[in-house]
Amino acid sequence: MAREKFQTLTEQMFYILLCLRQEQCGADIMARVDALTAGRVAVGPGTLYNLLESFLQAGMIRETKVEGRKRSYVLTPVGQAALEEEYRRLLRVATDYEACTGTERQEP
Amino acid sequence: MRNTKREWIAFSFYDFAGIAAHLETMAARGWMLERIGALGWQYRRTEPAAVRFSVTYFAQASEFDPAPSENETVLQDYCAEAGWELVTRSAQMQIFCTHAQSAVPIETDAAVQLQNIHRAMKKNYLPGQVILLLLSLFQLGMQVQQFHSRPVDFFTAPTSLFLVPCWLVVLLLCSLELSSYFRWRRRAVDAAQRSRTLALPRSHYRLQRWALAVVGLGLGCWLWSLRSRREVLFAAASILWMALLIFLVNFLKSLLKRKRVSAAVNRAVTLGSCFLLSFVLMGAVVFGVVRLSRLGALDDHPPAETYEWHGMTWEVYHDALPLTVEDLMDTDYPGYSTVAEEAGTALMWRREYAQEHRLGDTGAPEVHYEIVETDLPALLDLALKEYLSKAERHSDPDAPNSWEGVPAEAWQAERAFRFQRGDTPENVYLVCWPDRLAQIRFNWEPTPAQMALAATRLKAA
Repeated sequence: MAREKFQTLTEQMFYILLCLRQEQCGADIMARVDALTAGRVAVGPGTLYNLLESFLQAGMIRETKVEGRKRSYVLTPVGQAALEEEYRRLLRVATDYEACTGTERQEP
Repeated sequence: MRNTKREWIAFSFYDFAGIAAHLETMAARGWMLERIGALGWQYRRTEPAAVRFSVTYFAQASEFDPAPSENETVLQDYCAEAGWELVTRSAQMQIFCTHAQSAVPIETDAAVQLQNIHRAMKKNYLPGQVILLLLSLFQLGMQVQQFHSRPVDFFTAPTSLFLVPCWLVVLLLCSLELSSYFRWRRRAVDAAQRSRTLALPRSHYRLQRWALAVVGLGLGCWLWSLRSRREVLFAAASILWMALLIFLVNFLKSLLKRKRVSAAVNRAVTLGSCFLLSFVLMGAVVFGVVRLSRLGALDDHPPAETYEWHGMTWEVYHDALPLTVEDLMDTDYPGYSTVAEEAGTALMWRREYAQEHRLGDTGAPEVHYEIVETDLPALLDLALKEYLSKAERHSDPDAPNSWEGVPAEAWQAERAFRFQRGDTPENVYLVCWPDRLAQIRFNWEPTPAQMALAATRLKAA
């Protein structure tokens, strides 16, 4: 059911999971995503909180430590698989685009 | 110059955008939201400023929480990290503000936001609306049942006529709120899937204000229509009872929150006290009214004299009647009690009259009659049906009651009936004129001349 729910990841889900390949405190994720995408993708604090809760429930991340109100998380194998699956899906999308338009892959 | 002010705006609970926009307008006018309480939204005066507001929901929160839960504070920390400061919280709703116009919005994923709102709505708001909807249907059902079975009682009782529009307003508002929410949700789910944007909900606060005005007007009309001192006192006590109940329950809830009592205990104590207090306060109201009544303080209609019979005291009244036994025949009986009572609304009036001899005295002629008056022919038809069917309802199977049609000319009426028990006609008549009907009971067989005189008096009463 969890896989079904996260079959296709939104950009925000994708980048949150990407950040959590290394242990990360929840509050730092927003800044990390911003830096990683040069401000292209913004994750609001409400969205971040709810997505982290959903990922936890789906077993895609796990809580590593709690320091006061500061909680840190890291990706689980389930989350890693979801991230890789999304990466492959995006690659397929890009490949299809290239095949159809005859363009070669460019640096973003 | 006042530095605080309150307002009551009936935004829908899920109208996050409408609430935020309203708070931004208020802040631009120099009024900053301070808190949301039982008595409305409280603002404090500040310098007018361009402040951004954001309304978000936390489904696990409860209005009984003594303080934000650990999870809720984690969310608040994330918001603080993004530049959003908590203004206030009320049940599952949290209101944040920021002076940074470039701050990242609290919600950046329409689907996640929608899911979150729905979780919060399912916690209290939707069940509350459904319960209120069912309660209004039940109350209206009771009124409809009374309307069908006892239309005269229904249309002559100011309370019934007040309750029906009130419960209709509740039904309308709950239906509108629920249907609007589910229609918005369907639209929002579509929009979130198609364009990852969130369709904005819309509150019906103007309609709610009108509804409140209708209820207020109905309440005013109801109080104005109450005639006896007892009814007025009972109505005033009931309103006081309601206000006191709301105040005490809210006070207790706030006190327990201040004492840091857990949400579960607070909920149980508050709900239990609400249940208990409603009985205790209603009991106090009834006790007070009965006590005052026994002391005679509520007696609008004191007896003219009393007499003893079989060890009990009986009351004698000397009310003026439109038709008396003396009008119809010569009688020298001196001990009559004449009672006149009336009740009604703008739609229908019922007047009941009786001229009775004292208990123990026999042989004196008596007359009892009641007149139902209305300007609406349809209501008169309903009243006639009720009187005709009432006789059958209280019928003895061995001698069934019935109303037999009799010539109406004798009564100068459109229709006239005579009551019959089995095959025996009794001296009880039901007479219909264009704007009224009357049921008259004689304890003798009236002559045509007496009927004609009675008709003249009752038509003019």
